[in-house]
Amino acid sequence: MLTVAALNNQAYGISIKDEIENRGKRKISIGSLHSTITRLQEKGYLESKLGSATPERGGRSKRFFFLTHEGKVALHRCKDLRDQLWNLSPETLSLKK
Amino acid sequence: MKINSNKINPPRGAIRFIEWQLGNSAEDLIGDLEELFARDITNRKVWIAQILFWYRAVYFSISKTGRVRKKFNFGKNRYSNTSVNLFGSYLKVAVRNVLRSKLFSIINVAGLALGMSAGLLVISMTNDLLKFDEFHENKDYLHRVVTNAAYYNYGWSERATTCEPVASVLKQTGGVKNVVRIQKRLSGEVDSGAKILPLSGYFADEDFFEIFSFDFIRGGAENSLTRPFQIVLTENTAIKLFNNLNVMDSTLKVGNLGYFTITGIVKDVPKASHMQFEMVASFSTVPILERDKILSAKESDWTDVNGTYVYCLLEPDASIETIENTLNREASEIYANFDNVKAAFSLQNLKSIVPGKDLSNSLGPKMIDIAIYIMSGLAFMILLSATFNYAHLSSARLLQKSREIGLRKVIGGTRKQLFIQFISETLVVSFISLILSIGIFILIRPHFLAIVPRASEMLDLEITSELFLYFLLFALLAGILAGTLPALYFSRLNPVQALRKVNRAGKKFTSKKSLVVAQFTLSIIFILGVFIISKQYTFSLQYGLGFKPDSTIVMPIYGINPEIVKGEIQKLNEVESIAMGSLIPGTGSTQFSWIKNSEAADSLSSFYMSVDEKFVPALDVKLLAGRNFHPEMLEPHSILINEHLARMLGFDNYQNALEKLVRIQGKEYRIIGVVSNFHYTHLEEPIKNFYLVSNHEQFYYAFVKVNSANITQTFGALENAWLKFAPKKDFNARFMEEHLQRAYSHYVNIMKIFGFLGTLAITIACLGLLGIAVYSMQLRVKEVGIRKVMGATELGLVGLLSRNFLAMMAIAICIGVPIAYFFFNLVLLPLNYYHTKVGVLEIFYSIVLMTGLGLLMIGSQTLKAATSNPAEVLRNE
Repeated sequence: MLTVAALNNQAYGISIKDEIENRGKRKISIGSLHSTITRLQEKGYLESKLGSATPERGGRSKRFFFLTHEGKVALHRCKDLRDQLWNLSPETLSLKK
Repeated sequence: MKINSNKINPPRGAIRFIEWQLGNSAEDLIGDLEELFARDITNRKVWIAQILFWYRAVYFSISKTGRVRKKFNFGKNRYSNTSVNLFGSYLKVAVRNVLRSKLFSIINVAGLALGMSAGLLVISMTNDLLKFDEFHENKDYLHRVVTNAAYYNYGWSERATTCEPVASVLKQTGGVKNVVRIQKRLSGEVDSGAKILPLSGYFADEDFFEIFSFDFIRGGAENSLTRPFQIVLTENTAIKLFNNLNVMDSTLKVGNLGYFTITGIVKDVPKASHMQFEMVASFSTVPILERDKILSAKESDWTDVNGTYVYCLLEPDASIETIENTLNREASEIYANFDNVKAAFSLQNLKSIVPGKDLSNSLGPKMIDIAIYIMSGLAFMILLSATFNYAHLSSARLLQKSREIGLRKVIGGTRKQLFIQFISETLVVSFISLILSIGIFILIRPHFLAIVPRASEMLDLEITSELFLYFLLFALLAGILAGTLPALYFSRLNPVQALRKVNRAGKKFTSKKSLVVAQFTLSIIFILGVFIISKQYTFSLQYGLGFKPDSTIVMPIYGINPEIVKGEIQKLNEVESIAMGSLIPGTGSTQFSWIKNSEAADSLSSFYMSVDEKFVPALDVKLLAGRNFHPEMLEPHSILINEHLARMLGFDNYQNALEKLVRIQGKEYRIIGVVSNFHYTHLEEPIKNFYLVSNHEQFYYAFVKVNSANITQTFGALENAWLKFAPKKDFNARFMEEHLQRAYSHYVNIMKIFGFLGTLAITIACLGLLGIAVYSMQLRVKEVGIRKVMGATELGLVGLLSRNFLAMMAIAICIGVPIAYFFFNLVLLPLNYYHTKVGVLEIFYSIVLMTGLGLLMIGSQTLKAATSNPAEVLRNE
């Protein structure tokens, strides 16, 4: 979801895949990516819009994905939860020896 | 990202598949796939990219994405979700099952793949053959006149040729559009001025290129064969002769037939054509050549049905039967006048020539339909044996799964579902086998083409997409064939029975055992065959031929004056001597004539050969009496006879034969010497009457005895000498021993065939044995445990467990060895007059080889069972 946000209106299948592979240093197949996206859509965190036809894809259009309001809320909740947990344990997590 | 519009498109089938599955909502997914594909083909092989594309497409359609997308599309989609889900689930379970029992799967896949590879060969061959003559536009209306003729009382026999008057009768018959006569007599050394080559082709009527579709590169079908001495070449021939194609209106000298003008060049004749020619000349040349006595005059009446081919193009609505009747009515009136010849004619469509009936006087390479049936039968038997193996193995294994089946039935699995489950498992195996068997197919293809006579001239066996489709169908068929029986059996199981732990092992075992015995019987026959034929091969090569072929180089001299050849070659240091001869002795070619003793009344048939005075010493043929030909004087009317002929002529004492006169073909010859019986022909024939004559016109080969350490250098020197006197002709020298080996190369081919079949048979048999061993060991694992607890030794257990299998192999040996022995000793080997015998050693070797392999299979399993820890095995009880 963060990747979709990071790609800023340019998030479609391949670009998300590339972003995850470049930044996350992990391989993801296009099939499982779309499965994940579909699940997120079902939960209402993502919405999609069909883009216009592009010449580079032989006239086929891209489907761009955006965060919905619920999606943003969910992300924020997620971040808050993590931040709280981080704040609770500054000593144990300290990298100083 | 910038992507060049690449020419390679992703597989259309996959796109259609995903559109069919997901409807319009898939557009963006396809876009993603295509983008990935474009990326893949830049850094991977195309076919890998295509497979990846397919994989992703299928993944989409059965994954979460696909299911959700389909819901959006609901109503547009004709197919409900469940069918696809079920299919996916069947596939998934099948793949899991295959992966779970790896050993069984490997056995199954290997066995099926071997069986299928034989099937693939036959399919690809049949596919190639069915394409024969497909390229002719008029193929449906083109027919050949086939003659069924009887000379004297020799009986009827069908031939592809007919008599010339048939052509003129056909021309006047209604429904016949065009008639073309063809004769094969156009052959000889063709001299283009730049090069001389031995070529052959047809004389054909002017409409030849009108009715047959051979594409012209230069010139055209019209007027290319209208006047005498016009000739059309194929592209390859033109290049060989002139090195270029701009040779229209040039002249060629064809042997002694005269000078021909080139009026056209056609593309090379495809392999899939029953006509094979290098050149075609106008038929109107024939009467002129016959008049000048250059070609022997054919009796152009109704009695000669062996020299001319007649093809006709019919009107689309013409009735073949009417035309045949008209022809035969006319013929029967005419043949009433002849006592000795009878003939009847029929029309044969172009498409049924290859593969077709076995006719004599074939125009080009032929492949009779029966050969295809036999090969298909063989391949089918191999496949059947492999599928039986599969069926038995899987039923044995499924017995273990009877609980699973019972449970599935109890919770409501229908028979149909279970059936489909088993079948899809088999199909997974058979498709994996297909991949493997295509690998095997590619591996054995060149050998197959080399083994089957003339196959390389006629067949390519290239894997085309069409052929690949047939392969897929075949795999489907093989899978269904192998899977149906066990699937039926197990889907029918009563759940109560299946769930109870019943050991049903002993029941269906006899059929399995007899199958393994049959397979091993076949194996031992083939193994023995390989041993025996290799023995015969070495026997033939090492047989004392009565002359010494070593360090002799043979070169055909292509009609060059032998004296010139001798003069040039003798100058070389390495050359000991050079002899001339009309044929290469020991290779099977012969010349034949009748010889008559002045006193004896009957003529004797005899083989002969023309040689010069150097031949006898050069090849070390023993002179038993008299003398050799005179070195300086020409002696065209003297002969040397062999011992056999001397005795047949009544000279038991060879000295008495000297200076006697005999008549050969009406001329008198003087016997000047007697030579030992040497093998003038190959060892399939006994030594009979034979004589040597010194006819200088018949020197076709030079026998050069060389004495040198560096063979390559010698050949180079010979070639240089050759280029001096025959710069335009090909230098074609070879060791005489090589020629002799070639004469027996069919043994090597038979060995290859037997070796291949033997490998197939024994592999399938071994896999079957392995399977049955694995299964019975699993059944007896507890028995073994108890025996061990009671104090049985491991060695004793191995013996006990192997006993049954050894008995099976012993039975196979008892059946197979006598069959093989009688077959080879009484049928195959006596085809050669000088042949070896099946020895005890070969039988021993093949038994050891087979039992060794069998023991390896059994031993691996029995040892495993015998060394297992009884505590582990019995714990569960």
